[in-house]
Amino acid sequence: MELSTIKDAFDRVTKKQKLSCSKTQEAIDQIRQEIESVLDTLQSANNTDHELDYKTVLNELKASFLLIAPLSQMEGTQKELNVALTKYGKLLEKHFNPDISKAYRNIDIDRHTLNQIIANHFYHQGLFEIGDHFMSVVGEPESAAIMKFPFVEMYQILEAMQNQNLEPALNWASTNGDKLAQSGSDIVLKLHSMQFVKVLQNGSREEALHYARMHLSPFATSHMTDIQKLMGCLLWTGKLDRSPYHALLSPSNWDKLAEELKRQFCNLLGQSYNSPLSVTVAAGVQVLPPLLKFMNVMAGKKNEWQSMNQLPVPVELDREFQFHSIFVCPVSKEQATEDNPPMLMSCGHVLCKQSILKMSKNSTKVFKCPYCPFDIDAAQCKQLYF
Amino acid sequence: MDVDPCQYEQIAINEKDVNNIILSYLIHNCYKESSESFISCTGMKQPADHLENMEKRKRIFHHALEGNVLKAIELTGQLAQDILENNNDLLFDLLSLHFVDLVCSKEWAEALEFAQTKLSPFSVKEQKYMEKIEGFMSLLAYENPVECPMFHLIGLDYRQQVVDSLNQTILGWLTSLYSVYLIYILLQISILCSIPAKYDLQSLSFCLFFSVDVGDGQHTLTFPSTLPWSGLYNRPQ
Repeated sequence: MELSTIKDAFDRVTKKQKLSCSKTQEAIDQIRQEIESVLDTLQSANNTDHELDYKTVLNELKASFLLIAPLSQMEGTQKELNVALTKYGKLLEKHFNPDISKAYRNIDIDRHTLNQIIANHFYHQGLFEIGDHFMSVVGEPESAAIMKFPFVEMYQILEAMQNQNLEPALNWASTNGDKLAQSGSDIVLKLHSMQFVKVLQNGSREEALHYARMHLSPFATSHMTDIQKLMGCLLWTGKLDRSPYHALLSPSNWDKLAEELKRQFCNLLGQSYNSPLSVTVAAGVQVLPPLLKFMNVMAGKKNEWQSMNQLPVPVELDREFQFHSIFVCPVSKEQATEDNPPMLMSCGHVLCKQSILKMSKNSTKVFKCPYCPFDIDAAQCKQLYF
Repeated sequence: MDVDPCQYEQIAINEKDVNNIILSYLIHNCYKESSESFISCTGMKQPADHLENMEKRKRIFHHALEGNVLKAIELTGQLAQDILENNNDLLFDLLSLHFVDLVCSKEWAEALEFAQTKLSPFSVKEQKYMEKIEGFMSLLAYENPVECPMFHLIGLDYRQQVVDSLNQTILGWLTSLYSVYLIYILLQISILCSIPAKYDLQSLSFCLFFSVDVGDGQHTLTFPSTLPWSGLYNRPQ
């Protein structure tokens, strides 16, 4: 969205407001000055024997006010401010849809499941106190403890890593070494490499050599290049920052390592790297504009929107939101499901099972492929797995 | 003309020439006792100072092979200052042999110190040495270097290769132009193929012409009556 236009309009309103304010202040100052002058005159008159004509003094004050004409002074700037403010309001209405509730559908969702999702989000983000409070309020403190525990461990590790303390991470890697090896992760080597560099930075070459023998040599057959470079670092003990390997000291290595560890940790838990709730909300935010546009087009058919199962318009999500392929049948235009899986025909094209059954009259007839002139026997179609 | 292998038995080779080739091979490889026995058995004329030069090379050769590389480097320097100074590759390889010796002796601290002071400076000069140093340093990651994937660096094959390179470098310096080994190879090829060959060396000048008539077996290979072999090891200073 182009926000510079809105910012420009906002700046104009701000400028007009300041101008109007200063004009108003100026007028008020003038009025106050005249009143104070008259008060001084009246007070000084009380101390003498002369009788003062109060009516005359007040008439003079009135004449001064008429001369100043504060209303006409302020009128111009006030009018300009109102014009700018009105334009700004219209611009906001044009760019921001004020009523997104039109896209709302009343979906029945299991309250317990929803609570679990929300709590999982809090724990996933490391907001343990909020999560605990939320779960106690909704009355499910037992499941909270179960859900919370692994994330507490993960954030303890990450917090230690922020202080460049790798011990909790190395303990975790040691405990889960087999699972990590199965998943093909090289994070164990990365952790040990970082620890090795840290030992080397403290200037202890003998300790570094000992550490390399204990923890790095098992990786030599599969990561020989990395091991060679790390061993080359031994020649630069105490001056690694001036060596060909100074990139190993980059602070960004710690950030990358922390992210990699979090990813692997969630992977072992069977959870996604990002909180499911945050992913859902982010995807929803992306989809909302085309949805609202669709709602405007369908304004007269409110009831139909509430009951439809599938959007009649496609919505494009960024690559980060595409997790699995979903096949859409070119004949029925429906998404494949477990009951209606995609089937590979002998000609190489793919249709959904129900479409094939329909076109082949329940497997009793040979039918033509919609894409090519081949005749298809339903019995020879094979189910596809993505 | 090519000689039909079936006709090899028809070729009559001057025994004196064969003896010269054999002697050059023995001298090349520092087989002192063998070359002396060979000379006495065949009655050949003994090259003038071949023993002294061979003795020097042999000492260097054996020091390097037996794990005393620093001594070999020192002796090579005594022979001529610029042999190794002008050959960084060979010097690096020799120093790496010493590093390997320290690793095999489990003198880790000395190995690290040596690598830092003697090998590291090479990596500052050229990038290719950096990768070699890393390979050698990976040997340190194991209590038993044989377990390292780079274990070939501690094997005899690698050591022999480096020492052969040193030997050839010294011989190359001695002859200035060609290594004896090269001549040895060329001579063998010339004889087998009957190719006319001319060699013009700084301190040597000889021609080899062959003629073979396999028809009646009357002709033989002919060489000049003498080959000044001693010149190979007696370069003017």
